[in-house]
Amino acid sequence: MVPKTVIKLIDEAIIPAILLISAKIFGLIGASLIFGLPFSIHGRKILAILPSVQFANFQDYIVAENYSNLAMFIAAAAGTMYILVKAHFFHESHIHPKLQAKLAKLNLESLITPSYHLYHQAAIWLTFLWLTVAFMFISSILKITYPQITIIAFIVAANFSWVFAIDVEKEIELSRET
Amino acid sequence: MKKKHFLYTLANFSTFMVLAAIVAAPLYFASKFTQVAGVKSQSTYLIISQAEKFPGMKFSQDGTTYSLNLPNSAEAYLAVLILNNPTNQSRTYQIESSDGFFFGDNLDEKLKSISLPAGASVPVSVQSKDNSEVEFSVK
Repeated sequence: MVPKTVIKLIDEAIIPAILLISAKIFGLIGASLIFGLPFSIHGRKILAILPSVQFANFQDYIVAENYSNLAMFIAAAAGTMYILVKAHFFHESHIHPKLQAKLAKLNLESLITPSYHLYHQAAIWLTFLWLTVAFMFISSILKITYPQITIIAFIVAANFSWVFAIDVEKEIELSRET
Repeated sequence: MKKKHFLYTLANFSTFMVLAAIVAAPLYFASKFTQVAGVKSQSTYLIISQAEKFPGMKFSQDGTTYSLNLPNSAEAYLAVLILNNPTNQSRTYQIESSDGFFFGDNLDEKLKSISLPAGASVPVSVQSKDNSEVEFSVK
């Protein structure tokens, strides 16, 4: 049998992957429109479904690439943030009784998330977040992405991972108690 | 029984591959989506002029020879041009000039040859002693 965890991870990974690709595209279009960077779209010989956006010169390419990478990172960070908020406030195992009662009153109990669902989502979003940081780090070494953006991205990713680790710690303590 | 075991292994492997593909897809897309026009040409380097940042300086090109008209020949001009490696592999470049061109912006270490990783850039500086019309080519 295929492990349920892997199937669950695949299920949880599709939407974040689409969101990151969309963020990259919108970041690129946004930067091109705001800074007036001319570009052309070309087909490819291999992977024809994937077009390539060509910029007239290197400077335009650098600006567009930086802003689109930033947009991609913001999307990854926003997704992780959403999961962290859910883990902190709406986690089934340690939701505050007052909040639970309030949600029940408002018929919003669907917001309460079980650990199984939450941790699979967190694993995917944190993987995407760190992979985006790694991508930006390599891009900075190649002198494409500004190092300031990569440093900020690293600090944000490290802090988010730390906040998530606190929640995991809390969960382990609770499971020990029961 | 053996066939079933093989099918389980295959199913497990395929599932992991699908997961890896989904996770890698956005980054593959991000790295391949944008390009600089002309990168696919035979050119092994790109020269980007920064001459407009230096008042009175003029940049011109004749084939593979690049010329600069310096406002003051006695001064050193750092990062007047940028050389970029647009290829997808590391390359070594050599400056051919008798007019004081060098890679980098360090006057104490005037590099005539440099190895650049794929996509990387390096500034080109000049410190001419007497000529105001200086030229160089890259190999």
